[in-house]
Amino acid sequence: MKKYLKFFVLIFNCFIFSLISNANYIFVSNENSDTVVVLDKITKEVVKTIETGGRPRDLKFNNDFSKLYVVVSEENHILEIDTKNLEIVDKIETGDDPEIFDIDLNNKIIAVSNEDDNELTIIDLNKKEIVESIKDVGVEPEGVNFSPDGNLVYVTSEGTSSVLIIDPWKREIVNEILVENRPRRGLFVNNGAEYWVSNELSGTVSVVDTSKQELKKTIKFSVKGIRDQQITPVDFAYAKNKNLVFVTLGSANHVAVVDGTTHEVKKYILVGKRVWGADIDANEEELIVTNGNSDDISVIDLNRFIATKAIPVGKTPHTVRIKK
Amino acid sequence: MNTIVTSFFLFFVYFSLFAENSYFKIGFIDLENDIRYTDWGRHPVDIRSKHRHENRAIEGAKLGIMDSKKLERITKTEISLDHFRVNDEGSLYDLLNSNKLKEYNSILLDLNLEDFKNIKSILKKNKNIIFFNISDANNLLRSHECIENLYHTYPSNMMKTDSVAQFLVQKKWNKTLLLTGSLSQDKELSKSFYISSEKFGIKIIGEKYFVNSNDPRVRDKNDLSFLTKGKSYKSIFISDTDGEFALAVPNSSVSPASVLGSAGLVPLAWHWSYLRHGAPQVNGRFEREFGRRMTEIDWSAWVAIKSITESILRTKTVKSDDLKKFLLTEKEFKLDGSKGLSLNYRSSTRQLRQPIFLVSSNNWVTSVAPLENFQNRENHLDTIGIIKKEIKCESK
Repeated sequence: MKKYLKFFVLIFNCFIFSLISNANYIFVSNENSDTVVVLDKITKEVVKTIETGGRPRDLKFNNDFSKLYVVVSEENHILEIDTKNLEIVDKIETGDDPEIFDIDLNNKIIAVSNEDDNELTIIDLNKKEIVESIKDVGVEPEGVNFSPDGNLVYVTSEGTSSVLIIDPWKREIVNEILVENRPRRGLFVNNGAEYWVSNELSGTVSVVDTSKQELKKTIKFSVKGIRDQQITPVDFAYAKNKNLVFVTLGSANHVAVVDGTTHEVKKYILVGKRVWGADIDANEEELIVTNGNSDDISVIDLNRFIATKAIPVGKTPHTVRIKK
Repeated sequence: MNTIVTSFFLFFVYFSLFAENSYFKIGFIDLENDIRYTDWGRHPVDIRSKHRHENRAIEGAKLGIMDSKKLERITKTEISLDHFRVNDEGSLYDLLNSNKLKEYNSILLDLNLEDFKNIKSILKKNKNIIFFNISDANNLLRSHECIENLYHTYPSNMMKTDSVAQFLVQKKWNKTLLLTGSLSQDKELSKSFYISSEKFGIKIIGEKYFVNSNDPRVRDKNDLSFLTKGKSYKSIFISDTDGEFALAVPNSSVSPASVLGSAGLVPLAWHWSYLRHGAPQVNGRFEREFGRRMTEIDWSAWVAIKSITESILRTKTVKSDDLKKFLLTEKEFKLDGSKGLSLNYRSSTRQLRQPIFLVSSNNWVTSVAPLENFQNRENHLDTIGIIKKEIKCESK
């Protein structure tokens, strides 16, 4: 009898678990198959493939995770996807060649980088209209992050090796900070006290002190058996409670695990080819990264710090977001 | 009294303004009658041959200046560009000897080896000027001419032939027939291919000299059925700087073979079809501004200006001695040429280390050298090109 009881408890647990898990999805944009693939968070099975059209790249959720926004670079707009029924519900114009974007704290505005025109376009999210395009944002602007207080936007400019600090409300450039070569993305760490920037070509991460608005430190990487040239950092994921920052190292095919306070590199995790996008789940148990040159995603167990699974998703996966 | 105070004040304002901004003058010199640019007539030849340049590289330099403007907020340095088109070698000599030259901090030279030999002493005399060779591939210019203030952004023939050799070895097509044209540049390229073959293990089964004609009396030199018969081969390397003869070689050999060099798979410093590493953004900016495709010499001019801006950005100075030294710091100087790897200069030859694109007849970057399994202890980019021990410079 006891044996049966145990069995029933197990079944019941599975049932409850599946109820919760149904609500949670993993979204991956595939740059070259023009799709966003939706996977079940627990089973990692593909639930749906959403056709987006020309080159979907960055993905962001709104505050309550009810909407997912997808930038479609070749079609110059952002698609709004309902995260419950997984349907495209709306379309927002962005200006030419949008690549990376961010949404402010209160979901009032979107800031999106226009790589070809060297602009940052500000969009009113309620009216779904372009409010202004801020010009002269370096050369090939890419990474866009709202500061945690929502007052400023930090933009990385690949061609000028700099970070531009922009006031999106006054719509003006406030400051520009020199970092290393080809800065790709950024991340606010320690409640916004630091802004980390991945320098793809220099193979480093620059740490910017946000109160002084100046460069504080440069984090270097060194992976055994891999030439420095191959270390090309791109994206970040941040485990706040564990105080760890994960940096995808591109052609080095590894993810670096960095201490959020001491900036010490603690470990390198082997993943797929040219690892690019990254996101972490709500419990900080799992890290998922996109591997652009092996057309798959790697699932990393954050208790053991090893990749446990690789799942094919589509051609050139760009960004991954886990619904929380 | 008041006027004295005012003039002191103005004096102060005047100088503080200058302390704020510095200037860096770049010149660009090319020749009116450069045989490399003479066109073939009314044919749309630029789409037929990747080897021939219809347009001058000045526009690549202009793009470099446009990009540098975006850095002025940080560098507080205004970089300007002046273009000099001289009629002949005599006027080139006069210009280089004039006082005007001394106004410039850096000069981009779109010249060929013969010109370089003639002006060598003038370049050496103007130690303070940073000169860039943006279009000549000759190996001797890197290994024997030894002009200490001349930097090469355009790849050497050796870099190009090494890249092709790596590709042939990787494909196991390394039994090669060599076809060489009549120009001195053709012979230089074939000579370079011989050295690459030795280096990477390619068997050259024979070298034949072709002429571009229809004369039935020299069929053995102008007819591909004659030129390509005989011993078996898996690939054909053709050295044809003019490029017209080379166009007809692919799919015309007696034995089925891959054609490389001046036709077929062509080694280039840059191509508009490359889709990775930010290359589409550079190509896009160029095409929007100048209404044509960006060529490899445009890229070389662009990257020369970018080398200057990068050095000013990092050293925070415009002093030419400091910049020249910084350009050769192999660890600190890092340049983004939108070709994936971080680029720098070989301190021994002042040649920009860079990947080479192997571009197909279908306008597609088929492969990028150095190829995956060719490795160097320090830098994989040193598996292509002239390395230190191949240099014959007395001053070194």
